[in-house]
Amino acid sequence: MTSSLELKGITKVFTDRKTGHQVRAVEDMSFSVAAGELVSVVGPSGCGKSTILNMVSGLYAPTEGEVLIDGEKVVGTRPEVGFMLQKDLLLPWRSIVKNVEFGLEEKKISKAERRERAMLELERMKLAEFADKYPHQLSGGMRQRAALARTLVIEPDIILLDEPFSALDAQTKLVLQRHFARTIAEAGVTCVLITHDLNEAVIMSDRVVCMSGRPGTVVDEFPIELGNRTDPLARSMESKCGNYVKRLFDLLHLEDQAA
Amino acid sequence: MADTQTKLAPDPKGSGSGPGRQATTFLGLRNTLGGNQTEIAAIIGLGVIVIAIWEFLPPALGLPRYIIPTFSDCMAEFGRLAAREDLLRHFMSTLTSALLGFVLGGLLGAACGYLLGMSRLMERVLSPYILALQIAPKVAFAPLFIMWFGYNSIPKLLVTVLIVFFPILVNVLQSMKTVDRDLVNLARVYSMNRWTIFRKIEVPSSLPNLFAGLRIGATLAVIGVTVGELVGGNTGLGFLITYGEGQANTAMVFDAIILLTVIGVALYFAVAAVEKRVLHYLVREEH
Ligand SMILES: Nc1ncnc2c1ncn2[C@@H]1O[C@H](COP(=O)(O)OP(=O)(O)O)[C@@H](O)[C@H]1O
Ligand SMILES: [Mg+2]
Repeated sequence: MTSSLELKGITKVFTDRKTGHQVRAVEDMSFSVAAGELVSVVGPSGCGKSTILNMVSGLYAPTEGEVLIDGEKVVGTRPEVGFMLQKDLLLPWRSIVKNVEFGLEEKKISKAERRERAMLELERMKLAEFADKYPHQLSGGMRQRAALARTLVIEPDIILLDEPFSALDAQTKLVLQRHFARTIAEAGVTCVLITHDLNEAVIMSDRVVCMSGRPGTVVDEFPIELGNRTDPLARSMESKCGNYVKRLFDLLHLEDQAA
Repeated sequence: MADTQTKLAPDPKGSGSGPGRQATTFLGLRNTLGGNQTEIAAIIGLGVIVIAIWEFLPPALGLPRYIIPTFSDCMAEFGRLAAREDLLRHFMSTLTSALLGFVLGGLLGAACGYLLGMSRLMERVLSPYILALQIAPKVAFAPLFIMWFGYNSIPKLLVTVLIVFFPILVNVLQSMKTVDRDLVNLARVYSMNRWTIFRKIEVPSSLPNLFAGLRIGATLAVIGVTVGELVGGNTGLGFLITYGEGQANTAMVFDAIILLTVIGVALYFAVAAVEKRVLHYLVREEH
């Protein structure tokens, strides 16, 4: 069900369409995520975090190196990967339940089963009563929960979250972090969480990977030894939490000075 | 905490939009009716005043009716046209050509827009020519079409198709170029193929632009037919304009213009009504 993920010596060079300049986004990047583990990736903006996720999801290939899922090289997009961005990416012309069904439409299952699975997922997200509403009728937090429902309904082996909370207000963010933490742990799914919120990285994950500025590469990675990650709020109260955040802060700060 | 929040979440929205929601439907109603009672009264009142000025001012200034026929002259002329000049046939001819030209031009424009939107190379190669054709005054083709196809309804139909075609093509093409890449990527991650992405992401994303094009097309369609009929042929409201001009029957010209406007307005509002239904999910900004 859940998969392990490994990045081996990934380098990604973009060629700018207009100027023809080459941009090194990621440089010799390696890290791995065990099955069922939640790893956060932090780093300054523009260091190639989203680029990594796009390569893991198979949207484009790395220039050098390889991405392995369960030891198998990623060569294209695969339906076992769930994908979520800062933007909810809900289709405005579809009702919420139809949006959740979106990812199931390429699977060979009946319409009735699709609807049933979507409704089940919406119930878990406490959104069942909004099934027939349209995205614009929901708050930002509800929309992001609907997006998580769409991501989880396909029963992915691995989910990739690219700053999913960064567009939300502080209070909604806290509630949603806890909700996500529980849901993801229940599903037992492997997860990569990209964030630039250091506190979020510490309270949500089993391990943190810290990247340098562009071209991004791993400068440090360490496990987070706090309480159960289903309760991020309780974790943030632990005294060790501050130490981890400080450690990340120093790492990133040093990189800034060097740049 | 999560539970209280999820229970609470719809609540502030619900209580906030209790009066808010009412206001929205109220405004929606106002929009369809064109205003509340005082506004409607003012609109009708203004119409009556304009008609009264039209009726009484020109005679008072001593303007002859072959320069400015009065409102009642025009109404009387309507009666005469209907009885003696087969007004209904001319009206229907113009209406059919406008509708047919609009539908054909719209379909062709949308089809070409989507096709060019799918292929970067084609779009790059063709865009200078499209730009040139878009700038070329389409109505100027009317005499050419008459030389080619004769004095029948084909030239006016062609002018209409041509004039409707471009704004729709350009709008659709523009929307295809600005589709949210992240939505397309999401569909790709779900292993959807090119055709499915087109159907499920690109076409729905393009609808607001398509309708903007169709609204422009609806107004242009009437211009296309009119020019086609002015230049050649012996049917349609455009023909009545040249016919009335030849007879120095100004009221006939006025009446033809009024009916052409009616067709244009009807076409425009028909498109707007369909748009409102299809794009119901868009948040409408109400003033
Ligand atoms: N498709 C692309 N073409 C050219 N440059 C790109 C492309 N995608 C990303 N980049 C560049 O790569 C760098 C890393 O981008 P990104 O992965 O989005 O950073 P992050 O998510 O960490 O903020 C940026 O400098 C960006 O401009
Ligand atoms: Mg990013």
